[in-house]
Amino acid sequence: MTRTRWLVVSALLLLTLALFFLPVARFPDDALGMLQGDIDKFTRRVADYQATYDRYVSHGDPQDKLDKQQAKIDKAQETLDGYLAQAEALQQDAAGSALSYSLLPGQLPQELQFDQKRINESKIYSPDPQQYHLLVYLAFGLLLGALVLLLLGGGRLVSVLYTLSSILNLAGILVLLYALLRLNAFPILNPYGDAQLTGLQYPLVLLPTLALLVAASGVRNTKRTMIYVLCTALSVMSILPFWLMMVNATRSTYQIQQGMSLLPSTFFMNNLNILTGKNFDILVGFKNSAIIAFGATLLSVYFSSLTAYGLSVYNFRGSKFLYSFILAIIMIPGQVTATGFYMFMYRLNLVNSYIPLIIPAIAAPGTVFFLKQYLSANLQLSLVEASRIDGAGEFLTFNKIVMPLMMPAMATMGIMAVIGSWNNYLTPLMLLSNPTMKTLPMMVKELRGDIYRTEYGSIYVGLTLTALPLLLVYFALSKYIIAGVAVGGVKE
Amino acid sequence: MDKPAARFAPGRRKGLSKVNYNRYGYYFVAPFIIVFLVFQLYPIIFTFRTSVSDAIGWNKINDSMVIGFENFKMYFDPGSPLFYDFWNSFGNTLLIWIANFVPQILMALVLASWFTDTRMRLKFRGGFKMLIFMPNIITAATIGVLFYSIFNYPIAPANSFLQQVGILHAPFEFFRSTTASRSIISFVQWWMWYGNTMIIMIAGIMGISPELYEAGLVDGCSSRQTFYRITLPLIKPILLFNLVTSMIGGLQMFDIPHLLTEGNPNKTTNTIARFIYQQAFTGSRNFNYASAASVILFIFIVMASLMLFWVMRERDPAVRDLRRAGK
Repeated sequence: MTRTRWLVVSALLLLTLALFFLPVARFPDDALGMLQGDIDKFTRRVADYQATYDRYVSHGDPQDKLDKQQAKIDKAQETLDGYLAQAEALQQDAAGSALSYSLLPGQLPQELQFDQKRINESKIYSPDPQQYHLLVYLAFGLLLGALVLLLLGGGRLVSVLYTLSSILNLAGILVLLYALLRLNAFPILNPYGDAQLTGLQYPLVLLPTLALLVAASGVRNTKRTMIYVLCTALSVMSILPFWLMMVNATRSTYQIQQGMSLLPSTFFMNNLNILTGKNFDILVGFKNSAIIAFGATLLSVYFSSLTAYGLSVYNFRGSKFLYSFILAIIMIPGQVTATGFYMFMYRLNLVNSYIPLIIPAIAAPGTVFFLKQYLSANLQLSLVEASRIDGAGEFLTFNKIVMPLMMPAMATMGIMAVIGSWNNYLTPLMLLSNPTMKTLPMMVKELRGDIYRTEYGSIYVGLTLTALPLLLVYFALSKYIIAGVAVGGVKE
Repeated sequence: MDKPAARFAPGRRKGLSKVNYNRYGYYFVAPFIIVFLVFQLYPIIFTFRTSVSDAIGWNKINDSMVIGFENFKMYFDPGSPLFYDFWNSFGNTLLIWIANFVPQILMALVLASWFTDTRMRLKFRGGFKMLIFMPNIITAATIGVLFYSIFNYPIAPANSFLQQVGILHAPFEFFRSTTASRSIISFVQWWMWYGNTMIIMIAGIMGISPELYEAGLVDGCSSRQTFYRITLPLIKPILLFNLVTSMIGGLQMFDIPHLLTEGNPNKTTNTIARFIYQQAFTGSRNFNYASAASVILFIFIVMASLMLFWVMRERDPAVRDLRRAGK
């Protein structure tokens, strides 16, 4: 880190710490706000009376009726004037009566009380000033720590202290941001209104962020740390929705209504019972999906390796063309042909049958391409020759000699095929209308329906049950799956 | 099975050296070809044929008549009832695809360049890769309903969280807002696919000959120069392939919009695949209109792919040679 950078970062952090002592929020006196309602009401009333009076005049009504109406107008006007005078008086000392609040050193002003009614209505967590003050002190401490470490580093070119300082800085920013949001959300009971942030919140967050960026732009180590932080954040983002899903699967409807939580509860069996009580038979869906996925995969992998072997060992007329053709049809957009596929199956009377979901897997151009690549690299033709000399037929050679060689590649493609078939939604949705034949992704759609409207927990149980097998398979086989994706993408 | 015997018969040396096994190749590829013809090619032809027929309703599946290009007029005549719906879903699809693809490819490139940077030597690369890729293998239907549940109204994790930290004072109906709904779909698509793109980019970068990087190192390239001068030009074909496959996939986007928003609010998240699905599989089963829309989409995809290949073709002969040498 250069000397100038070091100076800039230190100055920015120092400035941020100073801002902690300036007023960041105001709690305005709400008496004026309440008065405004009365003023509006009486302004409207005067206008109404006046309109009635004008109507009487135009109708030519008798004088005593007009006088009566005039008296009503005068009385209303008098009340209105009284309110207006009150408002003016209040306005003059409103600036003085508002409670101003800075993050440090103070507590929240003693006069403030939380509005219990609004807390109950909007189902937010009960605000806890104690916890809030802890957050403020923590943010201040973290930023102070960042500054101290920076000063200890003393402007030397490279120091581990800078990295630590940046980490503390980042943590400080996050805690401060959370504290400010908390402050903004406190529901305050009259006569004071909710916090109105004065605008100081922007420099409070921007200055340390700027300091962090300046520090990060200078030091290699900090860049590394930032990459780790970003990658960790992305990983958390990948897990979080699934984590929420599993946590909410164990919480009761009441708990879910109370707010978000990252800790599981104990209502899983309860939710599961509600789910199965509504004819959500996950085992049937599981069985159907498994039949289709494994049937399609077996066919896909066996016949693709057959095709790949045919293309790489035999030099028949049209084999070159066929290979180019297979490369070209990898890209055929499948869903575009859905209508024709469905109508053709309807004509063949194959609607509500698993055949159109399993048999087409035999023609899997992507798998053929990958297996052909694998064979070209790993199969020696002398092996095939030797087998022929020993008198084996061509299919026997393939089944007994070549297939075992191809097993690793077939396994990779098999995993991909199972996942692809398992996750397929549109094709089964078109073809299967019989409820007992539904696949798992089709059953998921039911969870979105009205019968689960208030049973939040059971929806999450259903989702968890559909996602869990895949998650388990993924954690067991992620190495092979990632390898399968990698080879799938690298082709020209 | 009398061939081997013939091979060893005296005086037939020609047979010994040359037995024609090549005809077996046809048997090996036959299942693929037959299934392809029946289950892929014929449905495509049938879709084209239906697009010029009068196939509306179940009865017409078995006997429809060719009536010419009447169905296509639906999509090119502003007065027709389907004109707005179709082009609206077309626009939505492109918008949602671009909004997720641009950040997706940028994020994937940045992550791939970090994960393959030999000077950086990041730890836990395997773990990061595994977690970042994870959403891609979970059933899209499950993810659609999961995000629907997370962003639901009035009580759901997203609303609870935003209220707890004080960003919102009252629950927000995400799925009543066009911007929010489109953003959520784009985000989910991005979230599901940037890991996949990243893995492909990493594989592409790993495939570049290490000699080039060593040469760069000797010549004193910085990390940035290495990335812009060596990595990026050489993985261009993979970028292009990814762009085209992502476009083909993105234009057929169905699961997430269907399960997350059902095309709402007010059809602003309806996609072409959903439009086709609704025409063919709901209501009065307008197979002919659905097929015509499919054909338009098909032609669009083919033209756009060809255009992308043409626009991004390699113009620099030096790079072309280098790439060929690397292969």
